[in-house]
Amino acid sequence: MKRLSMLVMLFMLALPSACVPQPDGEDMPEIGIPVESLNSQVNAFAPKGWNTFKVGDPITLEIYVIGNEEIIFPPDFGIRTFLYRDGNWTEVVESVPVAYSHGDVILSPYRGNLFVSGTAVAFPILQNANDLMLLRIFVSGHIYRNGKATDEKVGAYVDVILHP
Amino acid sequence: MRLINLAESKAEETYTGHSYGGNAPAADRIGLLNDILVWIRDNTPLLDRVFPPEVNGVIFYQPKVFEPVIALEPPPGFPRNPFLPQPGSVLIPGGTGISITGVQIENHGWEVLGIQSVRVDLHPVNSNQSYRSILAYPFDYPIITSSEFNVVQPGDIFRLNIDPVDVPPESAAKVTIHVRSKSGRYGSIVQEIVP
Repeated sequence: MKRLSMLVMLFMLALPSACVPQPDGEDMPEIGIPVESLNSQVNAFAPKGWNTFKVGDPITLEIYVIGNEEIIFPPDFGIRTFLYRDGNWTEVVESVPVAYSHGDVILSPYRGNLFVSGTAVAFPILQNANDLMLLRIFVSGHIYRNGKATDEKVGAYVDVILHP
Repeated sequence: MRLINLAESKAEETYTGHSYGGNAPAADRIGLLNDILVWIRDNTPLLDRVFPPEVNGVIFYQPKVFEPVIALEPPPGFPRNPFLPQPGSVLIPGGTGISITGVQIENHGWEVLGIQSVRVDLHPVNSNQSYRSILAYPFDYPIITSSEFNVVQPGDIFRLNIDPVDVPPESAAKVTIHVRSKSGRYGSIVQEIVP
């Protein structure tokens, strides 16, 4: 009996990831940043303590600079959201408007200090709220050097699974 | 959920409070109960877990009277939007709403906390679908650099004024305060306010 309940529990744990289509490892939406540069200077993270991961709720990301240079971001951290469906990434263009009361954000390298971070919000409006959904959320900014934004665009992405 | 005015107001400001966890209604809690160890991509371990009931959050707001918004004629050369009410009719009704002016975090724990953001999601009273979200903090300056100006020491009460966020009549506001401890525990304080 104990073994059976353990099997049921394992099955329940495996179920959500089994139902979400898994993209090919090299499959990546085009956002104007070379794939190999993503997540090399910046890191995006969706904490469980901040998110419900339910379809219809906003997704709050914490952003860290893990490289050695400051990075300047637009107020919304250049956030873009893509939905994986039918073997393709499709950008989610409909979202609840998010207003920011601050301007551009310059983030310093966090160097182990977790309070040196930024906060970005994605608030996509998704159809078919009864399905599990796999989203890939990007943020992007530019290297900030000598008091100026450079042309070097950097970014990060995080995958999140939303539940009905 | 209509919030209760828990105590005397300062000036005309009202505040409401619930602890995160503890005696907070279940609907106010988000996140998982488990402690989950996650890794960000430079392999720095972060303990991403919900706070135990050691943080109180308080929202400050004031009543505000809103004038009705009347639908106008479109500018010359622009067609009239058939989905909007007729010009001259009421687009948004007037009445008394509120203006959210600040939040307060009471750190009853043993760790330093950082207030990472304050977000206000507006939605119609009769629907849960947000129509607008406002990231009300960090709020000043054209350019900010993140630093430790937002930390709350153990035992401290930290009041944070925000650029006032208007909640018009017939709308409700869900206020979410995101906090994180120095060791990487994450928590959210969520309050629903109906004017």
